[in-house]
Amino acid sequence: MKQAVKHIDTDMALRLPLRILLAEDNVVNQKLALRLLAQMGYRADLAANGIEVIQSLERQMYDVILMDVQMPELDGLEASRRICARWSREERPQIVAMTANAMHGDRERCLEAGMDDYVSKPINIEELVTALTRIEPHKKRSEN
Amino acid sequence: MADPCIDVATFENLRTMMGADYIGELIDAYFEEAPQLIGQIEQSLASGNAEVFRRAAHSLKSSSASFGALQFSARAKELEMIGKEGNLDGTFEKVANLKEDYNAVHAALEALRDGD
Repeated sequence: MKQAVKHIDTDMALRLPLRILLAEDNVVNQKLALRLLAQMGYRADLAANGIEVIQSLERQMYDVILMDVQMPELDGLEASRRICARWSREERPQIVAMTANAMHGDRERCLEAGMDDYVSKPINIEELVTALTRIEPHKKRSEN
Repeated sequence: MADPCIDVATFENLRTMMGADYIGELIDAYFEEAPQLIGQIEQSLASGNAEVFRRAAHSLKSSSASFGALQFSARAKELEMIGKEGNLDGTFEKVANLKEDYNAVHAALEALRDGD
């Protein structure tokens, strides 16, 4: 009798305010992730490919990017490399890869590209909560 | 009623996660996007663009799995692998089968949505 969905903490965003950028090209996956985040109290911005991710970061900084690995134009790996080349670790958002974990070696490639963490797709609540809980918001980081 | 097309446990898990009021919207998005992706698979097969073929198949695999359309997702994954290899020769029938399978997935999801 596993499979039961844990109760969603609707106040999570109050305890842990995060500016989240969701990078995902598939509309169904976008809606799914945005809905999950909304239930925790987060309102994420959206980018549909790696180019849009970089453009978003030029406009404003985020605490975390939830990054699909396979996107058109510029994929998640290359986008992460560019982000890490351009901004320091303190400046840039932390990058959480979203990978279909079936493919062996995908996660290693994500970390090599400079990503900080990963969750598997299809996304489940527990994994997403765990990954977000590990994020240090920028404000806190600069205070340390 | 178990439908062989859709893994009901996965679907119900998704419905609970999304909320009963939202699952219909998610299904509608899938009904809009999946045929577009299948169209991309057909077009890229016709033009021999393995990269577009691979990416569309990957995207279809991913969203289909979320709904529990596991067999269909596996078929899309098979096409993704073929696209990755780069040689699309001989995949015409597989693509035709995929299209047919989608009709079954569509019908099953429609039934599950209207179920309650």
